[in-house]
Amino acid sequence: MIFTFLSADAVPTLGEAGLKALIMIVVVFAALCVLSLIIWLFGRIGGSEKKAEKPAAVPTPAPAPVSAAAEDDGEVVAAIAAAVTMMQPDGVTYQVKKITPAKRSGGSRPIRQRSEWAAAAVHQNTSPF
Amino acid sequence: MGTFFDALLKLWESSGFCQLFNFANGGWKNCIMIVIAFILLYLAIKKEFEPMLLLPIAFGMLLCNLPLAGIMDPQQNSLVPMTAEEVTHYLAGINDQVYPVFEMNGQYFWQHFEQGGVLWYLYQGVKFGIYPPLIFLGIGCMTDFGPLISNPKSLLLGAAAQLGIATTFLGAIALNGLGIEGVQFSFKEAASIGIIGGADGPTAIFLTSKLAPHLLGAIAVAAYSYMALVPIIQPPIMKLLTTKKERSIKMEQLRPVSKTQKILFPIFVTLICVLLLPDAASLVGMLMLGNLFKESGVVDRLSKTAQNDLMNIITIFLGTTVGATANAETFLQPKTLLIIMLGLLAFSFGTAGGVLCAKLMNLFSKKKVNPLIGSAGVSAVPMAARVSQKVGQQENPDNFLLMHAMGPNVAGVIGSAVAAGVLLTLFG
Repeated sequence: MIFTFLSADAVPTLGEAGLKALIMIVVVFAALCVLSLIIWLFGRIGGSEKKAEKPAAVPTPAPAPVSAAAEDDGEVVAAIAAAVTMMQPDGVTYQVKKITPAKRSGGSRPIRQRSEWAAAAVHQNTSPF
Repeated sequence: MGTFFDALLKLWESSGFCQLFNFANGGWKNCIMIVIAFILLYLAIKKEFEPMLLLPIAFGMLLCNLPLAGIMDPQQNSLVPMTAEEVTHYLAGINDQVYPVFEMNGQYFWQHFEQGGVLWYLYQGVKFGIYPPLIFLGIGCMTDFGPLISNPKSLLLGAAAQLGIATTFLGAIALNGLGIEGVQFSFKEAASIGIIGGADGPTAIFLTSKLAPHLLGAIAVAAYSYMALVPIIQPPIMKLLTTKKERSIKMEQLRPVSKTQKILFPIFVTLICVLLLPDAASLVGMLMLGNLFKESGVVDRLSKTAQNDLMNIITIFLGTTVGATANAETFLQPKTLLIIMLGLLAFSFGTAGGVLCAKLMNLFSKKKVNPLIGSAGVSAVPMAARVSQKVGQQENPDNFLLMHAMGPNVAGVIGSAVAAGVLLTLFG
């Protein structure tokens, strides 16, 4: 009754509109919930793959030594120091003592690391005319 | 001397100035529209309110309201019956007319053709729903769905922020009951107004061009104006609905996302959304195609073109032609004022929906979510995420919510495209 007080002959009623709005919200939620579930499954599968890979990778070689060039890269150090400073409240000073490259996280091989043949094929197909 | 003044008078009467200042003949409406165009130009240039779109929209509005310019006049095709003499000449092979001849049931016609205005031709891209999906292609190339993949719960926040669409749709229908003269919104019109709450310009234009093209100008202006005003509209609502403690919640760092996941994401989203809602195919499909361009890493040229050159060209066409639909007759209506008001309602409810959903999630989740990121669910990428970051840092300067807010932010883009697909299915 409360939804029909505005109804008129040729005018859409609030009751009908409410139903349609409800349908819309339910469908949007359903679609995004399914997507959310699938993404979550991606994460689980990815995570379990990493865990499965870990025991086999116990005798990992020692991490490559950080090159002197990377450590002494003044611009990188300056940029990181500036970022750290920007993140802190005024009046607090920090000193960046050491910067080392992060280890590459697990997961699939980056696309850009392709073989020479694959790289040549991509180059042939994507180079300017 | 008299002839000279007659010529001057004739020149004046054939000019746009004469039409514009002929107030008795409705010239005042054009004057008002030109003033509105100036205000929008001022907001775009001086205040930098979404200038990339507001500027072409405002200029399109200015162009189409200059009398006699005919820049948005449609192409005219008509058939004029040939006289008996003309038919005789034509059959004898003498055709000194420039018009082509059309024959039907033994009768002969001249096919008269009047060229339309340049913006009318460009407008066909809006009318047939071509530009918004192309804009989505560029957006897809520029979007990183990493934060969303890293935290899939963000999708729920993106869905909750679509509450603004539903409430505004209901609000528009409820206004019918007030009995305001000249204000009766049909379902199609109400759905087009509601989509303003998606805070997504191309989606709003796409849906409106399909459901209520006569409201395109008003809805585009409302959508882009409010998107520019997100930093003003959202913070009071966010603060009203959250406590200081909630605003200070620090969120865990997002997990890294592998390249494979980023590549699979657009493919799966396309499959699910398009199979569920075929009407959302053009928007979601193009968004995800763009994203696949970016994430695959094998078509850098296409990706760069889509996110730069193509996007810029389409933005010019889209903005100018949408602005040109706002002529005095369609824009200066009581409905326009109500659309502007309802647009504000849409943004407010969308923001509230996202924040409240985040609070609800905190009741059931061990890992607490800062409710401020919920407000970013209203698309408006990346402005809404920046607002979450800013408001969060006001409470705790060490709190960095930007990347967390990008999840619901890009989820909102998908959510609004899905919502548009549902509305198109229901009312299209």
